[in-house]
Amino acid sequence: MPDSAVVLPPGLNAVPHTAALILATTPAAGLTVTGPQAAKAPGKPDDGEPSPGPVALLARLAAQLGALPVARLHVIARDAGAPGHTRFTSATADPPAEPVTEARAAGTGATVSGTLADRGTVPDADAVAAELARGGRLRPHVITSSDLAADLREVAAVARADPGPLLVLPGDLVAHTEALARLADPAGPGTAALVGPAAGAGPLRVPVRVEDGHVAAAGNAFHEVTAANATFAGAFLVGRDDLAALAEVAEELAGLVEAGRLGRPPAAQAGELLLTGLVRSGVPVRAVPLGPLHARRIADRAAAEAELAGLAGVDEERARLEAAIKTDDGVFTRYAVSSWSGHLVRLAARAKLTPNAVTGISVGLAAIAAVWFSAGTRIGLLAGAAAFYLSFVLDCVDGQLARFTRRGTALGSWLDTICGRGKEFAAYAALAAGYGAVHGQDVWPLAIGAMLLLALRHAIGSAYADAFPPDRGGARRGPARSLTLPYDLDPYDGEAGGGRPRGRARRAPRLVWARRMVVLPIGERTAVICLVAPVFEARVTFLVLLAWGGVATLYMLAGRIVRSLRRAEG
Amino acid sequence: MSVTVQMVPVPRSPVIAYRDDGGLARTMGSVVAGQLPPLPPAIAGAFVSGVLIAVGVARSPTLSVFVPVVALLLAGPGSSHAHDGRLDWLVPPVLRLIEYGFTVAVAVAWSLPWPLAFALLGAILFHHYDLVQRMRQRVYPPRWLATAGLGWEGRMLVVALVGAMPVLVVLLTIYLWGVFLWESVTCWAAASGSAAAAGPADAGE
Repeated sequence: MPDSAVVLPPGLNAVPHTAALILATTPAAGLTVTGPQAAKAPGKPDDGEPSPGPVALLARLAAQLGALPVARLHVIARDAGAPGHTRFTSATADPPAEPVTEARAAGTGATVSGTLADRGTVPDADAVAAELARGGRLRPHVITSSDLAADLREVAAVARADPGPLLVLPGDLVAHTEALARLADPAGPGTAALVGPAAGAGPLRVPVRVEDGHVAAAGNAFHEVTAANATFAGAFLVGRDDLAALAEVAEELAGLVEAGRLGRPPAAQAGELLLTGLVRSGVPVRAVPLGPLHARRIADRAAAEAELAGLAGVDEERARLEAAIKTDDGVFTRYAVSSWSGHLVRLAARAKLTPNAVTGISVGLAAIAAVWFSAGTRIGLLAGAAAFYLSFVLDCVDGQLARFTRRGTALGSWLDTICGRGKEFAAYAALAAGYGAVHGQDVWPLAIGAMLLLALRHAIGSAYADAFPPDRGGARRGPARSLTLPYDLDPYDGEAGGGRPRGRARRAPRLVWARRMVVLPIGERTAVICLVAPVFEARVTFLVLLAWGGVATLYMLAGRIVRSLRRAEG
Repeated sequence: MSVTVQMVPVPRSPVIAYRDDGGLARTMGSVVAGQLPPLPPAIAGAFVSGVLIAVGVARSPTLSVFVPVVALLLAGPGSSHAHDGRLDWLVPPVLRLIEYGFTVAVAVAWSLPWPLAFALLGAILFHHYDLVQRMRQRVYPPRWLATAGLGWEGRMLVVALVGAMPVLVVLLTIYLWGVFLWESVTCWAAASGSAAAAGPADAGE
């Protein structure tokens, strides 16, 4: 029988829910600061951003996580009576031996040496639990530990026990909710780290080198980075498949810390050490760029206040909207739909429309288009084309709205795909019927041919994509390197082709557009129907769809066959 | 209306699920127990089917049955294979090609009304798009659906037998739309009712 014995109920259990692990082991994690009094933009969707006033950083973080698809919250905090409590503070009293000494971003004017005010008061586990419980929905699972090595061992224990994916973040992180959402996006497979611009590196913002969208080297007080071109913002996500690697790395690091092989690493850099460990063990770590958003670990009250004020200076809603509108679509979608669909997304969000309601309106418009198309007259074709174009715009809006409001559902995705093809094929049938009514000539064979060709391309694309899912075979594991070496490999001199750009990122932009258009994506198909049908009528429309679709099929097929043969070689 | 969500076995791999085998093909597969590579016989099946269609067997109800039978004999035994070869993902598209091509050939041979052929193919296409979405969203189809939906080989056999009689083709179309649409809608409604949050929707693809 072609089925395995594993049995799952459909839907619910299958959806991966992220877990979060907060490392609340720094003094700044216990801060309660006065937030900026800037008024919030009206009509802003609820994103877990707490109201102005005194802000407890941990409660703020927990509220933010509560707004994301995070199901479990683990926290590592200091036991008040533990001997490591004092050891921790003495470790941070020394400025860490950091290759980059400029500590804070130029704008704030503060440096690490000026942060003595709150030092020494690491929040104990009870205080942490109390703060987090105020954060809302998530019930924290508090783990106490005494020092850095113990922290790392606890991380390993969590990585072994939790089914993942696991979001690891420091308790002193001040970030936009949207920045965390990008990291925790379940669509992004595997392991990823939040990275910011290279400027403003410091002990709490360590330098990293990003190559081809992946973290190639990550630094901390012990490990250096050659040719750093970005910084690590403090939070990273470990995919399910990499949790075992995280546990191993954490235990290896704990052993090295205890043996004194990593110098005297500050306990505040547990996350940074883990990132270095993951990268050096060869786990592919995607770099999730912050873009206009902010995320920064803070050392003291002044930095926290400055950072919170900085958050308000960014239009988070706009950043979220821009991220919700995919830009990797075809030319037509990019220039004739995505250029203005953002306004519709905003409108729909204000009107509290669900993505599925937008899909429904889109289907209604497509039905109107089909009725006009089936008349077959010039006026009918023009009106039908207009309605079909609007229907397609709404088809894009529903997905963008789902990402914007973070309310995507499996049902919505299914509805979107099925309705998308349903609308398209209804338009084919209506065009064929209309042509027959006016010209008395059958173009049905062409309509059926166009439909079957599209289905065949879908079969090729889906079978190939799901035979080689990107999180299993797509990201190649990097070379493993020892954690005891403080220095980094020269980026263009490493073994195993470390300097060779991975993937296919280096392409001329014009070629990229050509490649996207040749496969005749949905946007281009819509353009053919909307532009060709009113001018040249249904026959030519189908001939164009068949010819272009035929080229697209051969191109896709050839490319995928070549790629699967190459993949098998190595 | 109350909907029960049943425990559903997880298919071994998406590629195997995309084959859309019916009872006959699965039976043939269990005979060879996965020892036969799936791709070469499937391609041979597509080639032989193409030749048979080209010489005009679709016009005769008795001869046209040979196309599904030959395709089944060649491509059916591969159904139990793990489909882990480097090019085994080509099997589902090849099976699609055989089924769609044969259905169109029968419709042409018996001059079925084109809208009817469009509707019949539409039902099959709905099921194939639905299968992909289900695998991706992990809302797996129940086992009986593969049997009730007849599978690619079963639908080809029925089309070969009833092609000459438009009334029966209408009934087949209604039956397939009924099974695929009803099962899919109820299953998705039940699955989404129980899922509070889910993966992101992919739009416009």
